[in-house]
Amino acid sequence: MIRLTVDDREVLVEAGTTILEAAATSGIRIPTLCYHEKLQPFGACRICVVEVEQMKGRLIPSCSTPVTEGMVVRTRTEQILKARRTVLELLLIHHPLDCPICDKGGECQLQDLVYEFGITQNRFKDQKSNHPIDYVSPLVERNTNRCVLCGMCVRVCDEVVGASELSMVNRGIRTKITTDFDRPLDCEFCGECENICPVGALTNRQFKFKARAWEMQTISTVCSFCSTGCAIKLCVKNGQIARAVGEPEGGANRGSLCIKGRFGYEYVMSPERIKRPLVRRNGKLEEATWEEALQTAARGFKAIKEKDGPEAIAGFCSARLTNEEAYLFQKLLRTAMGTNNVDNSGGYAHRGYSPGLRESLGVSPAVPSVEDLRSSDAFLVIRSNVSETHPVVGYQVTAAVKQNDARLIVADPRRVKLSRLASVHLSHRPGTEIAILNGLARVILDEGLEDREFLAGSTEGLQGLKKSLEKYTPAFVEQATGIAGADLKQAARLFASGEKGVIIISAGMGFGGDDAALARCAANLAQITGNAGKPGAGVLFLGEKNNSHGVVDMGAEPDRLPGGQRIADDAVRQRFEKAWGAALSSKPGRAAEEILSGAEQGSIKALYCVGENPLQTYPDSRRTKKALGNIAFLVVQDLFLTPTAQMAQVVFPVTSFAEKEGTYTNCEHRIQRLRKALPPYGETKSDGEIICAVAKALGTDIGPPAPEKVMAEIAGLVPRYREVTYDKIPVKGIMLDGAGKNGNEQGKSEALPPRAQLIPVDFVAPPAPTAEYPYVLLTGPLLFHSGSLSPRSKGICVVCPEAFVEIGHKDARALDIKNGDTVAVTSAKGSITIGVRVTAKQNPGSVFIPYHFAQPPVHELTDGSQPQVVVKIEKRTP
Amino acid sequence: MIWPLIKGLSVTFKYFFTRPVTMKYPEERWEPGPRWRGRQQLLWDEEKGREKCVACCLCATVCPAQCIRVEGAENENHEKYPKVYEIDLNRCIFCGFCVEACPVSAIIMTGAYELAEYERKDNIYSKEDLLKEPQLPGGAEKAQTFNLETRLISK
Repeated sequence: MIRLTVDDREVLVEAGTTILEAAATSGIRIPTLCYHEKLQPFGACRICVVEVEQMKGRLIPSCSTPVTEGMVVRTRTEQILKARRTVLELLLIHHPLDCPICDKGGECQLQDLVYEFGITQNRFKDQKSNHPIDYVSPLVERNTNRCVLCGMCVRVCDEVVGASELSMVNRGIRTKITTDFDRPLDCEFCGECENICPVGALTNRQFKFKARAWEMQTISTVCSFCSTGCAIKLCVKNGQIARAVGEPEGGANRGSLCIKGRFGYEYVMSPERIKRPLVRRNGKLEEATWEEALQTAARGFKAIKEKDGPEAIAGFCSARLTNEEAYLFQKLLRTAMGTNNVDNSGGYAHRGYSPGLRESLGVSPAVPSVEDLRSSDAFLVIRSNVSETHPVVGYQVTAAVKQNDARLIVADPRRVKLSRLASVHLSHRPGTEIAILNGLARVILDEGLEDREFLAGSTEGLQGLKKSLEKYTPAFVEQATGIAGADLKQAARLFASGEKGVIIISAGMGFGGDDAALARCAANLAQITGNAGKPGAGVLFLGEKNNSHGVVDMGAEPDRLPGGQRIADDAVRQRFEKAWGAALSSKPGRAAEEILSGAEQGSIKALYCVGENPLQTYPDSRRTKKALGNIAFLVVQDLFLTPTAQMAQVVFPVTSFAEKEGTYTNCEHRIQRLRKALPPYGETKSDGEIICAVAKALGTDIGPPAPEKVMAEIAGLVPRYREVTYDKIPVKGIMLDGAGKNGNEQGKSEALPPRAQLIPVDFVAPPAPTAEYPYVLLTGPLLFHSGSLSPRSKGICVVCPEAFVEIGHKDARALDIKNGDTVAVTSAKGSITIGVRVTAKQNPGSVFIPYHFAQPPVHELTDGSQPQVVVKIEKRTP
Repeated sequence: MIWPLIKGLSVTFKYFFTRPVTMKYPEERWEPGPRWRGRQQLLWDEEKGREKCVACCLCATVCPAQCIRVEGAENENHEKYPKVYEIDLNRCIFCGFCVEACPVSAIIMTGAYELAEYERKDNIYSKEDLLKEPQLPGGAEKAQTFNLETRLISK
């Protein structure tokens, strides 16, 4: 610890702290323009100068000067203020002072400082700068004339986002911040640069001229896209969202956002949304009153329950529901309808990461928090294009690598963004991740790099695992995955050498092996290296959607009640029966895949889809269509008239995330609150209200839909949520038990493994390309989109409007295909016509199609029973 | 007894022979003074061919009666302009703060004081209404108008 004096106040701080930070700890504010806590000190603006007794004769930039013992600092002498005024005057020489029309006006740091220092005249005169303004780049507008050259945009883009799109060009007074050769931006469009810009040099195009900073009401809520669960602030003017900004208090993101969070909210205000309930009359969906729609739905479910029994009813819920709504939904199905046939969207395409992890590490394993990732020193990112699926988690990994020299191993069949930063990029054949993880485990065990103490003290099943790993020699792995043995060994050594190693896996990649198996493998490797249950280490499983983790916790699974408690367990069931006042079936219900096959065979007659759109998002859409066509009574609850909703008998319109209250649980098991920013659109109601109304129409009371009441009920039944009080959830959320902490939380009724389990997993080779179908089709998400929701947002569609197939250069040459050509992609299941993007990302032998778009329907190619499909590509002559 | 009567009537007769204070409105109309704060007018920039207003919303912010509604937007030249500029004259207290706050001298107070309408909605002036020069009573010259920067703008 170092003791110093700042403005006659004694301050005690750790060595390495800067003067600026030391002053802040004792409440002394030093004005800055180029300092940001997320970035390395830069010392560009010279506003933060201070006087130091020991360094007399010159002014010291406090943001980049570390403290020393006995330092005597003064922050507001006459000389300092004069220097600061001069700096501001110099900045104002070229600044256009167009505050009335600048969108930053009112929250501009330069404006605030000029006001604070009372500068009304400028002693220096020169021509105002006259750089052309970039109106071409989508989403972000660049007006270099207003720039103060603080360099924060350049640094955030480089250090945090890792896109390195902007740079300083020229020297002296001719310096400007721009791209190479002043081309328009072609980056991730995360808007971090725009957000961090202290002046109006970079502004949000969506927000352009919409409102002044002081006119808006800001509401802290949670982003509705991925499971990072970034806290956002929605700025509302006249009942419309004017913009979204990161919430600096936010737990997971600390103010950072990606393109989806910042620019993707527009779907909320889309005119395509359904306003009133729809009921099918004479084969056509027509608008109806709520009363009629609810009665129709209740009659339909009742009729089927009486005729075919409760087992003929099933429900899908989206992983975008709030915890409360997911809880009410499964309660509705289990009590009012009497069936356990309930599953969430995660249950189909990417079945079972959570069950896989649960078997290895217990019901609520320790999860590294997103914030802790910065302190981790080794990452293995496998089957997880984290920079695109969960960009803000990607920022943390990037920052750990760039700022703290963490080791990064990326295993991905495509050359993704993180590959550039990786120490080792394992470019493997798609669908062979299990072989890699087993191979890494074997190398680590062979070379004696494992954490023996942890293995002996906290795990079980090492012998069995060792035996199962015998066959995974580097040679075998090379043959199975295409990764050179030397690379595998290097990756294993790098990962094992980390003090805090994190394995990142994510759902929603839509291709490759069995996810439960992959989760077990990842858990094995984490245990072998002693990383399970350490803060900042372990397995970070990223669910695809904002509440993927919450809906699983809330029991939207066929065989588990809320809290992952087994329905087959009598004690558990009795507890829930008592709480809910209804008899529960002990028979585990059907999972999503079985529900669809049941529908095909005719044993499922009624389906209640809440926020789910299986027709567009589940594999093998022809078969899904057939299955849904077989369903006599389909009720859909959605924001939009999706392809699935178009087949429904009753469609309920729902409110979006911005129009309701509730909680989401993110990937690090942080529970955060949604806050209502807008009034409900049209006559829409929240999912929870509709679910309760349906229950009432069915003659069952499942309680009021008010989230605080539902959460109180959940807290009483789910051990992990017992300390959650709805009204007391702060903006940064609450970490649930076990999250970010060590050890398993003991659910009272759950028979937990006392120790973490090492479960051997065998590798099954995925279907290989054949002469007829020579390419492996990878489907997955894009950076710019999330699920099937974001294509409804205008701003995002400016950047990425339509689907395409990515083909590597070599394959494109062989097929004589150029960028922008149209091709037919055909699998054994179907064929689609789609535009081509030739890219260096793609390795030969595989092609990639994002799955967000309704057209062309990529899921006509995929096959639910196979982890991946092989396709052929034919050029279409235009 | 008669004395008070005479005393009282003397006042009456005194006024009987002075010039009347009242006017035969509407046959005669009063001409407002140069600093009279009547309904606002938005000014047109002849050079640029657009309204002077840049929709900075300072008038709406400063307005104590909160009667100004401005919605900015981008025109084809990427400039900020008021897509909506509305003054609710039912609520306006004619304080002139909007004129003082305007950084581009786009708004002035005019001499127009005849603002009665049959319906309240007719007293909500749109941008188009506000851009029109008001018809001043009795064909009088337009009133000189108070403005912070130049103190007097006369036309």
